[in-house]
Amino acid sequence: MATATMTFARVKVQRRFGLALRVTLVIALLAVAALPLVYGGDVWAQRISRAAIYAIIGLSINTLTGHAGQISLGHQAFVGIGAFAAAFTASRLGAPLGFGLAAGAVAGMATAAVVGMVALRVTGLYLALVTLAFGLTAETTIFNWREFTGGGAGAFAPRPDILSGDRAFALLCLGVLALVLYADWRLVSTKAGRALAAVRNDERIAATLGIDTTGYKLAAFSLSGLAAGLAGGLFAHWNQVVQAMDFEFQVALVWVLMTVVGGLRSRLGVVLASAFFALLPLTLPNFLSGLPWQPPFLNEAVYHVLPPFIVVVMLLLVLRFFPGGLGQLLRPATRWLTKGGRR
Amino acid sequence: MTRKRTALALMAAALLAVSACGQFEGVHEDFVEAGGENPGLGGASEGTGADGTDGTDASTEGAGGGDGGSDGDGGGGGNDNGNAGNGDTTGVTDSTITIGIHAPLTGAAPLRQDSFETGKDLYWQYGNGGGPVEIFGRTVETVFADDQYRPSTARQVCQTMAEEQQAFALIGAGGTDQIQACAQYAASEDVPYLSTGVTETGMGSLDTYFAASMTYRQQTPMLADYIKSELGVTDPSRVAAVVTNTPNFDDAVEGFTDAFGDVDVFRPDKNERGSSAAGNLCTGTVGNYDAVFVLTSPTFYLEMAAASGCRPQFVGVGVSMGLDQVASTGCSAASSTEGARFFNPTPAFADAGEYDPAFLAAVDAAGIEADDVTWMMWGQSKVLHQMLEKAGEDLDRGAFLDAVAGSNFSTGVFPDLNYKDGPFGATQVSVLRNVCSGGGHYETDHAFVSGF
Amino acid sequence: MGAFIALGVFQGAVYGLLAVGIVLVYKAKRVFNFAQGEFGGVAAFTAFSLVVSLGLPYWVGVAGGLAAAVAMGLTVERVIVRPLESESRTIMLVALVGVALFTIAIIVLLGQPIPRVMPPLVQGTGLNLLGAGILPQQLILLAVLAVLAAAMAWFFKTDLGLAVLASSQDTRAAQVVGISPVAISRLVWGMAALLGGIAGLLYAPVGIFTPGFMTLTMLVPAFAAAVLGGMTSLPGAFVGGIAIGVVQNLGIYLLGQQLKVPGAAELGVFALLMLVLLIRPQGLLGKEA
Repeated sequence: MATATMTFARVKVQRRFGLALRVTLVIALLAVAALPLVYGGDVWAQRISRAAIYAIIGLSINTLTGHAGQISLGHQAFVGIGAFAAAFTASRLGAPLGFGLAAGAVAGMATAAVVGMVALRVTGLYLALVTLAFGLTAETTIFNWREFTGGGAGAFAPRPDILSGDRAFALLCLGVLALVLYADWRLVSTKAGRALAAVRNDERIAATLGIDTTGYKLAAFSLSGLAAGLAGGLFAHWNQVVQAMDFEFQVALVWVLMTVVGGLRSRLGVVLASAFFALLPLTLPNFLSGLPWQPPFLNEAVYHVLPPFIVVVMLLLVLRFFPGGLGQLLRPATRWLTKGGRR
Repeated sequence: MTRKRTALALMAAALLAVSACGQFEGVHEDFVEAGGENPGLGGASEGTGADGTDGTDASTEGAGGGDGGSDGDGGGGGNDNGNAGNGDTTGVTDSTITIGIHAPLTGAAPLRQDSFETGKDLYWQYGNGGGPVEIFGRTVETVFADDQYRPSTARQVCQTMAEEQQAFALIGAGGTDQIQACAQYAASEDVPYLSTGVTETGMGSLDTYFAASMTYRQQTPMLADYIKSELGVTDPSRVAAVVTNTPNFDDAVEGFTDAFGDVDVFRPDKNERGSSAAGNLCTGTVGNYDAVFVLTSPTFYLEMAAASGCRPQFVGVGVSMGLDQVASTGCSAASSTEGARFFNPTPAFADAGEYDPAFLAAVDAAGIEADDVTWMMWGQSKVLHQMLEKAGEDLDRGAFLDAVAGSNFSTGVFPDLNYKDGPFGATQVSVLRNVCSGGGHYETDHAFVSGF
Repeated sequence: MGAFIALGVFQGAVYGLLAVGIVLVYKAKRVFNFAQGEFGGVAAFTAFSLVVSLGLPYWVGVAGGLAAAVAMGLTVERVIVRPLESESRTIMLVALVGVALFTIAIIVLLGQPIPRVMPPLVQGTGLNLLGAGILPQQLILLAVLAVLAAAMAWFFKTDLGLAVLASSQDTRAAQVVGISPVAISRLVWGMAALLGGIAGLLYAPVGIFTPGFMTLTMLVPAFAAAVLGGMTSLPGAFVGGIAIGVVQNLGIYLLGQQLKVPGAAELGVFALLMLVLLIRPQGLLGKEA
């Protein structure tokens, strides 16, 4: 009896120690991640904003593709509509930034819901095609509508005074990212998440279980569009100007790739991969050309076209060798961090 | 179901909370004052200017703060911004000055990467009789970035160059919308910005901006005269304008139609891609006109020209149209651009030796294969060199801006410049004609003319 | 108007040519081949470097281009498609999107993203059709499309073609009667790459071409053409391609030039695609959805 209590107490102590260790580690990691924000100046603040925006987009695609099993190759339409709605609200209506973001989110949600209604009738690969064609049409039709988007010059999205500093704006982006992460976590851990999983695995079986598959699919689209529109709103204010070419169809493809590289249904993986995809083109060329030794066959100009090459290589490697993405690679570490070795 | 609703409600509530704390003070009023054309321009520049630089610049300011003031010779020009010797010595050391350049290397108007790579440093390293240029003991280093032909990317790379890579001044090599976006950033952070002349929309009020050649608004009435007197097409119904659909080209179109009369105007979109759009526009419609004024991306122009059965007389303005790469591509497509005329900041590269022998000497000294991107960068660097000379030994951004405003510059490569009345200081253009024999290239029809 | 219809027919021939390859892969493997366009891209750039940069005879360029396309097809089959066979179709789709982007990135890395001109197969001024100038190259393209669509339709009636179909319907059963799934897979991807290569080689000399020209502008209409034709029907791909081309150009003319609607070409394709999928999912000539 006494030994049992002793063992129990020791386990408890160990577990507490483990918990403290894990919490410290998480905080340390977050602190390291925050370093560039504190010491990096405005340029790094802008990069962090971009990373956060990409992460929101990644989570948005994750909601749709990861949770509900619906593919979208036209996500730039949702992000773009959000961006232009926010820019319009800010520059033409002169409304505060919050209204712009809300308008962006609502516009993204409405667009996604419309596409989602089509998706109810078209499945699988055909859905990929419809979203692809829709994204292309949105880019060339809606985003070129000059009165709304400013045509070739793009739409201007000035920031309000309080967020005019790049660091403040980065904090806003991170805040929204945290919100979206929380929403994603709530979504998965509730009945809705389990229902979505059932829809994803087999729609017919899900229907026989009494799950409203239509409703859940539509909800997934709307939710995904909402996050995408929100990200779009932030994107508009990020450089304070957006143009249709920011939402080319390659962009949507790259977003899908980054979500898959991160690992569908892995929040951490998606956020990390998105951040990586967002930062690579901004940092790699300057980093490489700043190196003391330059490879003879490369020059500064080549560095500018390297990032797209690298991300696709990453995708192909991921799909080939660990289809679960970064999330799969990180699983041992995340499992230890969240559960402390308990299974 | 209820949980899902909770999640949705949470999102909605959060959104509203965000809206509630979003603030704006004077943002809207500012740009309304600036005139509806470029909404948010004034607001953006003032907003970021307020606290954007303070943090990063503090470290560099300490040294230069005291002695900057003496240099500002005023000049009393149109864009004297009262910045005389503001102590902002970002990018200036005792031995170097760093310059940032942005240009599209990818996208619809790509410059050749290798010629850009060799061209950007040629003047600074070999422009002084084969040796490096020294300005009060300082040599010039360059950094450059690909703006991808997107305004938002342009703004972002300009920020990176000016703040992280510590570029003292920025140069825009081409691409109107990108130049505008970068110029607005530069103005908001008091970074000197020099570009070839493009649009005037929203640029005249930017107090750190200088156009190194005539703007499109200035060029298009001249172009109309040129079409009438030199090409002999006087009937407006025989003339079409194909101009990219951006508000930044509205002033060019206006200038053209005001001077020429009621010509048919086509406005393809910037992201219109694929030869079908451009080719069909040409074959189906535009090819029936005698003279066609093009102001689009080079790719769009080439796609039009390459379309079968479409051989009108192409004329135009625009920096990248005058590049030999465009002429040679057009010529290899069944000589479709033969005889096209374009207004250009510089005389043709083929005649470079005639206008600046030092250029060929520098090319020899560097042992590179020069082309007109190199030539264009050479001219722009030369303009900037004179500006930096004028700014004096105690160089800072404020001194530079004050020295340039109201001053004259003459390079013999770019047009003569006079910034007495504001940032659009050029009054001359050169006219290039596309010649296909011996490999497509441009030849100089007129050099530095001010009217027809 | 007439000019735009004529232009549409010949533009549609390119879509049809791509669609034939897409249908082939879909029929045999139930995969949407997003890399189809880039087979053409690789062929065009290889041929360009052989003919223009190295100055070799045209037929060497054609042979080299097609060889490069087929080599790419077989590589994709070996490195990407076969290992991912057991994964979901979504993953396969994403992987093929990756292949397309990878190829574009390689071409940009090696050859700069500048516009290029490929000399045409036959020189000469075009003929005037309904007010539109049509190049000899485009006539060849249309003829080749008709021949290839017919040839592929015939192929699926041969023993080999039936073996491909059998393997796609029940791999295990087909294996039992001696049809090697690996050999079939190689055959299908090799043929698809060859078709893509032909499309690229024939289309590149029409106008100018840039890296990704086949994927960024041609692929979506080509998919729409395949869907319109029924996704499994080769004559359908032919008809669908031309129909999409005509609709697109009528869109450009009526919506774009008359009503000043931006992006009229894409809008036309999207509207037609939606119409087909919602009203007649089996397409014009398809037997199943």
